[in-house]
Amino acid sequence: MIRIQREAFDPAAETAKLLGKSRGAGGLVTFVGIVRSASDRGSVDWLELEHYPRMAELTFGKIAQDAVARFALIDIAIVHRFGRLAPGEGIVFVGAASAHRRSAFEATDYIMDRLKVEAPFWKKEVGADFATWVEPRSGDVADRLRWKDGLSE
Amino acid sequence: MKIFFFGPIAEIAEVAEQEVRLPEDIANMSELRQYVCKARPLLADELNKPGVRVAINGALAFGDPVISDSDEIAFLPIVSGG
Repeated sequence: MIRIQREAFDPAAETAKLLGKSRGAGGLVTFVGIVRSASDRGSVDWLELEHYPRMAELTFGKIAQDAVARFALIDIAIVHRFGRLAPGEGIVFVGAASAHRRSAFEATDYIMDRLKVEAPFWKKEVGADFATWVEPRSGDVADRLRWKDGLSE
Repeated sequence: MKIFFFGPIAEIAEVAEQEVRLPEDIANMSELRQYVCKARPLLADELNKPGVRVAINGALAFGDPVISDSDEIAFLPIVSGG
């Protein structure tokens, strides 16, 4: 299940939904990405998240398909938000259900690593005296390279 | 042809979406890029930053593909989702 939405999501409800669809699963791992209240520049008032809907859907679809195949998942969920987000709010929810725990842990990690460098989303951090587009951390690319697939370049 | 700009690129372009008729002498991506940079000099610096990618019809473009007037082109700054 993949959703891209402006509205807030409820991690507990998303987890329950995924659990309900994961018959035969022995483990379910979830991750929630959260808006930080402070950045290098200071206290963050809000984030503005922009995206390219057509490409975001294609990208999430491909990442999900690759994850299911690679880790033999029973089901997965990706929910990503756009628009204005306040500190403490969830930005992204990823869940993976599998027969045994290891592949669910790894799949969640894998999906996030790919999403960070492939999904067409851009965030702007806004504080009292700054409004700055966020650059990826240098570690994000290294994280992505841990998984040697889907690298078409 | 529809051209999309995002994030810092859209901010400098002062527009997120633009409908243009593809000039007949433009056949591929590198020519389009030059055309856009020439038409909007302020954008050139931003588009030439390392890490800026291009998508055609929602899929990342590699190399210098042929483009047509029916394509949807997007100029993508380095992404920062999640």
